[in-house]
Order: sequence, then structure tokens, then C-alpha cells
Amino acid sequence: MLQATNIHKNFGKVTALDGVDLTLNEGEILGFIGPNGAGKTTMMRIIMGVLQADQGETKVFGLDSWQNAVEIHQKVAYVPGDVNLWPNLTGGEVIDLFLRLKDAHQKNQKQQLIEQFELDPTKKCRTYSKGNRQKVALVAAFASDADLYVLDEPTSGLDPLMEKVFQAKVLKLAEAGKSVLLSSHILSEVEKLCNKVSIIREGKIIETGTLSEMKHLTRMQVIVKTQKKLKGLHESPYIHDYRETSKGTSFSINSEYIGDIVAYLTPFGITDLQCLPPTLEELFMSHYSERGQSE
Amino acid sequence: MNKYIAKTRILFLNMLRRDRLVWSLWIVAVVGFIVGLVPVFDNLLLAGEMDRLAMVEMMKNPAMIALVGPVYGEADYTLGAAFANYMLVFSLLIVGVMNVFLVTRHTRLEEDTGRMELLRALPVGRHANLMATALLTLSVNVLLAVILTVFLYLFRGQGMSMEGCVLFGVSMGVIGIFFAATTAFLSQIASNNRSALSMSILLLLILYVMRAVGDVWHESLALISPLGLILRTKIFVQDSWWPVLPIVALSLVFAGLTLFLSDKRDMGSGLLPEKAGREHGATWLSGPFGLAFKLTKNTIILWGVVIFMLAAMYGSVFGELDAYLSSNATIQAMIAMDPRFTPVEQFMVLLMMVMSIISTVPILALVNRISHEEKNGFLELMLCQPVSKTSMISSYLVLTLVTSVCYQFIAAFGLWSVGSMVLETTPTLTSFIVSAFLYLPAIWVIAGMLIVIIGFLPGKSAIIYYYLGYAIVVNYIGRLIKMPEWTRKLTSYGYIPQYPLEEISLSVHVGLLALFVLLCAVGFYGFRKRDILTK
Repeated sequence: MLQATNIHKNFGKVTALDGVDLTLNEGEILGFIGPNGAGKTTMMRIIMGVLQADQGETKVFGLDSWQNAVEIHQKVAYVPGDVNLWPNLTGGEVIDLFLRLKDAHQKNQKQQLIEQFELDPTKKCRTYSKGNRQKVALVAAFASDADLYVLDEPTSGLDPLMEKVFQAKVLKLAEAGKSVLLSSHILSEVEKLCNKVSIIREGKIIETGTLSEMKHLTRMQVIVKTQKKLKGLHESPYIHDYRETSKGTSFSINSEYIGDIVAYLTPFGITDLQCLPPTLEELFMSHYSERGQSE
Repeated sequence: MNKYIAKTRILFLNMLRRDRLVWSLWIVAVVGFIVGLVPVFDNLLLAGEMDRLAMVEMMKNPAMIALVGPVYGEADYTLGAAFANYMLVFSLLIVGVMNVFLVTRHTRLEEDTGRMELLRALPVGRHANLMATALLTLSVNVLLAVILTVFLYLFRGQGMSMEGCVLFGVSMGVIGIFFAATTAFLSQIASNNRSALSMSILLLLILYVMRAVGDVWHESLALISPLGLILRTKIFVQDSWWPVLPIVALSLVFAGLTLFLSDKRDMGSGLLPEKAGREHGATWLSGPFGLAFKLTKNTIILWGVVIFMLAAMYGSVFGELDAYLSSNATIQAMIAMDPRFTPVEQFMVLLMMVMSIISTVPILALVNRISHEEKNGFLELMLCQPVSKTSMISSYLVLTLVTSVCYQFIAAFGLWSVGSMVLETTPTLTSFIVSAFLYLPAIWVIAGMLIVIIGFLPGKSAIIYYYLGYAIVVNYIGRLIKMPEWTRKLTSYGYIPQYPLEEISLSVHVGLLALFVLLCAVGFYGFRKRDILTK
């Protein structure tokens, strides 16, 4: 579906992308996360054939993203991160224009989306707020019958209710076997929607994998209460952040040892056990802080 | 009072600093343009290049009166009288445009971009920005008036008194302030920056045409227009000060109305409501060309009207022109009349060139629209659809070609239709159309140059306007002051035969067309290969 290998891009002396690899297979929803200025938007523009990579190759549907942009875009829907719309066109006109360019005019679906996103299509784009401009781009994208959806921080201006509508739409795409590349700052959203994640930092991909794979690499937090007093636990090399709290004994542990630790705890008589899976937030933070320290 | 104008001083100083290049360049350019032409006129009149009497006769030609205003002091047509006669209206138009840009830049544009919201969130008075803008325009106009006066006096020629120089400067300053006030007023009414800008420019044009028509037929119409009234100062002839007062008073009225309206309306909205638009796109809005047309439609029509009005204005003086030229031996000798052609035919050559250069301005703006789309991120939106770069830029090119044909037709038709109403011996519509269409390749070559700039130097398209400015100077003023022929041959207009006085030359036109195609091909190549500008 999408295959980018070793993408480099410089703007003058500034290196924006420094050997990025990105793969998205059919039916996958890939979360593309990273801090501001990491190169997410530049990468998406290269995928969309708007910018030309200095080095490397980006294939969409097996075609070169720069050379065959027009062909590719028949089946790709894009929502830019910063939606600028023609100030003197109405939202309805913009949506119709985009759908006609794709030969994908599905009236019912469009109407339904406009209602779901509570958009007033008769207003001139200059009067729209950021969220409303995003809604215009989202309606145009979801109403077109694409195979690949490239969404650059699509919910950054939406209210929580509209975010829900958006998430429902993306999950529906996934059911229909479509592929989605979703960049976002909202990790809970990525966690909810994506089955694969790539993390980018300073123009380099620092981690790629399924969420479950990645969670393996991180620690689970365990809070336990036992009848007998726990002994010897804090001396174990697998145990980290050992603390006695009012809620019980709290520690974190690499996911792979979770079976061993339950076996160890059982003789003490467990009265309460909570295992909290790592959130993407923790994943994200641990990556950045580790990198920060190593530099 | 504090809640209205608090921190005006800081805002004013900030504007002065932010715009230091803008206003200083305007002042240098305006003063340079005006004062720089004093020695040129001096040469023209004193070195015997042109007979003083012939100059008076030429200026009394109705077409010239419509263009620059009535002749004063013909009995003793000094350098000062000739200079003020020829230069004042042009200079006033320039200072008008300067103020329109200066004011919209700090009022509606600031609101549209959202910067005003940031400012208003600070402990700043509600009208502080407006006050600071008023102070800015006031200082720039006063500064311009003072510098202009000083330099005019330093470079003064025969008949240019101290008082006349001061009055020239003051007239410029006062008209500048007048247009600053009307622009501020229209900015309160318009619903966005673009319409504020176009309404203000339109007002400037209307007042200019009112003056032109008034000066030729009915003086009272010219007196209503400040651009006509200020000419009654008769600078370097009588130096009357009275016209200054009503214009200052009128400016104050507009300033007061502006303040009143600014207090009544919400930030970011005008008094003219933003009406609801179409819920669905029209069927023709379905591709790059449809979009290009939709975005530029109003501008194209507006310019079409302007070109028709100018052509009609010239055409309307054909009757007077014919009578005047046939009866006047001096001027016949001066423009070396060829007996095989009628006077109107001979004048048509000059008019067609002027009209063609004027219509090049909107044509370049149309080509340049693609850069505007690129800078604002709209091009990126389109390129992320199944649309190629070539189809985007060629849409604007095709639109430009069609529009240029229409404009040349409108110019020919305007001259002919009104001309034939007032003069039976006006040449046929066909010869007007031929004469106008002969200029098309010249216009297209300049458009082609702009395409090359867009293809290789993104964001630098303003260069072409300097070139157009050069073309105007050498082809228009250059003929009057007898600049050498090669200066004109550096512009495409310089190659167009003066039909019907000269034969149509096929090779020139084929050559220009070939050059145009080549320029487009090169420009398209560059545009396709380069990255587009992204935010």
C-alpha cells in the first residue's frame, strides 16, 4: 500500500528527514507520532508527492509518489495539518470541488457526513474557525472512496464530541479494509485507533511496531495487596520503582516476567491485584527521556 | 478616554518601525519620480526640443485634458505651469494608491489575519490601532509633503516659486490624507480586507473619471471630485490655496465617520453583512480551470469594466480631437502627420499602445494568481487531489490568454463604439480590433516571462512589475522625451508595428509568439521540477 525507504529531505542546511522508513500494509491503521518539528508533516507531503525527496523512494500502490502523483491521488484522501481554504468559496463548494476532482461524488454520503460533523456548508471559508475548516477537509476525505487515507493531525481543532465522530469514521474505514496513516499528538486517540505505530524524532524513525509488540518492551505497573507481608521483592532484579503506598505495594515490571511474579506472589495470599498496561504516553515519554539522557 | 486610546503611542511607534522600509521606499520613489522629471521638462522646453506654444496646444487637446486636467497659464506657459499641468494628477493618483495600501494593511488586513485579536487582548484601547494608523498616515503624508517641497525647490526651474513648491507638496499631502480617511471609512463597511482594498481603489478610479469627464465637459463634476478640485490650486500659475480647505474638511468628516462606525461594529466583521453562499458547487466548478475562473471571475469582470471605461473616455474625445487636429497647423507639424491617414487613425496608434499596457496589469495579476495560491497553501490542497502541476499552471495560462483577447476586444470596442457616436469618420471596428489584437503577442511575451519567474524563482514574481514599469516609462514617457529607440526594443511592445500607419509584419508576430511558447515551456519545466512553497 505504502512503502517509503530511506527518505532524506533537507531544506537548505536544515535536515528535515534523515533516512525515514515507513511501511503501511492493506487494512492497517498506522499511527505516526512524534514531537513538533520532528518531520511528520514533511514526510506526509513527500508521500503526497507535494515535495520531492532528496534521496530515497516512496511508493504508493506500487507507484512512485512524485512521478505518478495524479494517478495515485485518485485513490488517496488527504487531510492537511493546517487546513487553508479559499476565503471566498463556501465549505460546500470546496467539498464538491474535491469530490468532483476524484470523480467520487456520492451525494448521500456527503450529506450524511455534513450532518454528523455539524458543518454549515453555506458559509464562506474565511468565516470558519480552525475546527470547521478541518471538518470541511474531513468531510471531503471521508466522502471520497479512497483506499488510503493520509490524515495529518486531523483532530487538533475538533471538540471532544466531533473527535468521537471522527474516531467512529476511522474505525469504519478499518472495518472496510482501508488503510490509514494518522499523525497525531493525542496518544489516547492513536491507542484507540491504530494497530501499528511509528515514532519519529528529529527526522528519524526511532521505533516501529504493533502496539502489543511495543508494550512488550515497556514495563507494566502492578499494585498488589496481600495477607502476609511481602518479602524480598525489592531485591529482585526484575522489579523497578518499588514503593509501599496506601493502596498497596506498587512496582513496575517488564511484561514478560508477569507470570513469574504472579507465581511468586500467590503464597503471600493476594487480596487485590491490579496490572496496568503501559499507555502510549509512557512509551512516548520513556523514549524521549531516554534519548534526552543519552545525548 | 483611556479605554479607547490607551497605548496608541507604542502601537504607532511599532507600526513606524515595522513599516520603515515600506514608507521610506514609497517616499523615495514618489519624490524621485516627481523631482526627477523636472530637469526632463526643463530640457524639453528650454533646449528648444519642443516649442512652448506647441506644448500648450498639445496639452489643450481634449484627450490630454481628460488624461491630466485643464491647462492653466497658457499665456505664459512656464516650466512650472507645464510641469504642474502634466505631473500633478499622476502624482496624486500615486499618493492615493500609497495611502490605500498603507491603511488597509493596518486595519482590515490585521483583523483578517487575526493579529488584531492578539493586540486587543493586550491592555490596549479599543481604537488605539485605528488612532495609530491615523498617526502613521498623517506622519507619512506630512513627511512626504515636506521632503517633496524641499526637493522641488532645490531642483526648481523657471516659474517655480517657493509658494508653488509648498502648494505642490501640500496638495499631495492633503490628497494623501483624504484617501487615507476614505479607505479607513470603507474598511469599516467592507466585510474583509480584499473588498476593502478593491472598494478603495474603485473610489479612486471613480473620482479620477469624474474629474476627467468634468474637465472636458462640465466643470462642476470636476469640482465635486477632490482630484479635480485640487487642480484648481493652479500651482505655479496662481497658487490658490482655497481648494485645500474643503478637502481637509471632507477628510475630517470621513475620519469622524470612521471612528463612529468603528465603535459600532464588531472586530472582524463589516457593516455589509457576509451573505450565505452556495451550499453546493456549481457544476462547472469541477476542475483546476473551473476553480481558477471562480477565484478570479470578479476581478476579471471589474478590470473589464475599468478598461471599457478608459477606452470609452478616450473614444468620447474623438470628435473634439478630429476638429482640433485638423484645424491646428502647429500640432500637425509636431506629430508629423501623414496626409494619407486621418488624425484619429494617427492618434489611435498611441491610444492602443496605452490601452494595451494598461490591460497588461490585470493580465499579469491573473498569471501571478498561481503564486498567490501557492503562498497561501491552496495549491498544495489541489495537488493532493488527482491534479497535476501542469494542469494547475496551464489553467491559469489559458484563462489569461482568453481574458487578454477579451480585454483587447473591449478596448477596441470601447474606443470604436463611443468614438463612432461622436465622429462619423471614425475608423471601422475591424481596424480597431486588428490594431488591438496586434498587441496580444507583446502582452503574452511579458506573461511568459512571469511564468519563467514562477517556474524558477518562487515568491519573486514582483520582479515582473519592475519590468512593466520600465516598459511604461520608455514606451509612454520615452516617446515624449525622445529616449533612444533601443530602450523601447528591450520591451516586447517596441516591436509591434504602428498599425494602420505601418504594415503588419508577419515575422515580428511569429517571432514574438515563438518566444512566448518557449518562455512557457521553460517556465512549466521549472515549475514541474521544483518543490512548491509550503508553510
